[in-house]
Amino acid sequence: MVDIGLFREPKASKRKEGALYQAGPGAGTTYKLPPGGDFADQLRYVGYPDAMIPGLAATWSDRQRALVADSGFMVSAATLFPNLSFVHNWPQIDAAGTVVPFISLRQWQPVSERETEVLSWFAVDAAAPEDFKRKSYQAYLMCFGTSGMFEQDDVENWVSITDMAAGSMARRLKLNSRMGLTSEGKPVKPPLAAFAGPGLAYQGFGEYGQRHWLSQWSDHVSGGAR
Amino acid sequence: MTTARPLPYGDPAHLGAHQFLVEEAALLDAADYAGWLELLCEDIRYVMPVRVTTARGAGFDTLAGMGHFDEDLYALRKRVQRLATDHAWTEDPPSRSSRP
Repeated sequence: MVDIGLFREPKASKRKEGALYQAGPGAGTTYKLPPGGDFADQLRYVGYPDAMIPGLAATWSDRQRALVADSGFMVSAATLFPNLSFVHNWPQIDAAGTVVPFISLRQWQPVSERETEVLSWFAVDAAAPEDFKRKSYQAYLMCFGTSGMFEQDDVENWVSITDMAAGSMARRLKLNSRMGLTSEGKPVKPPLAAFAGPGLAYQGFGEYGQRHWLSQWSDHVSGGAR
Repeated sequence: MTTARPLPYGDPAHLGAHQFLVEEAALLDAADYAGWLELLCEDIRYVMPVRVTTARGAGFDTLAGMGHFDEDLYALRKRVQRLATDHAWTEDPPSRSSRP
């Protein structure tokens, strides 16, 4: 979607510079924000109108504000074990480059061992201006949901992953989920020292979040976690 | 509503609308989405409502303020650009266009 200019960032590097964090049962991704901005500047950068900023400043905790203002990261996608995910992203919704953020909650509802139903909700601050609510819904609908420009191709991946997982190769081979680890199994870079969010955070591409989820799943199915 | 009765089939406006639909269908069948975009006006709103089954007397049969898609010309252009990228996996094999 970077290809067609739906996002302002011309390169995927903004994702690479983002922190991948894991905290409690959750793990998620962030984007690196431009340097130098204060809390209000960074919220404006991802498209929150001035009318919403005092409310966000008042309801976010000190650490949540510091994650944006001091660490310079904006939360994006996240998953809580076992089956609740969040999306926060900020596409350009018109040719003038107006950036508008949206939030989606999604539940991964098992139907059988080979089928998962995905429930996707659009969420918006009840106190937001009506104009923002409408534009944020437009941003969500353009990118996510059944007709969303991202999600229709994402679903294609999830379907083929599910199909492949039932095949004989998948039964014979081990899953390689080692991105971000050295051959000794250590993170290629140490966790970020100055990360205002909870838990551990790493910068750079990696499958930290996936391993975090899989290790919890493994503990649960083997009866190890209580 | 400006008129209570539909236009006669032979009315030039009816014929023009009919011809538009036929030409639009031909472009979509040929997957000529760039050509299709050229048919559209700047202030187009392209929406597929979410139909719901409601009791007689409910007064509505679509969800208010919510669609399967609800697009302006900018979003339609982005969707056409997306089809030309290498990662529009879900359109290979392509969807068929159909007209009931």
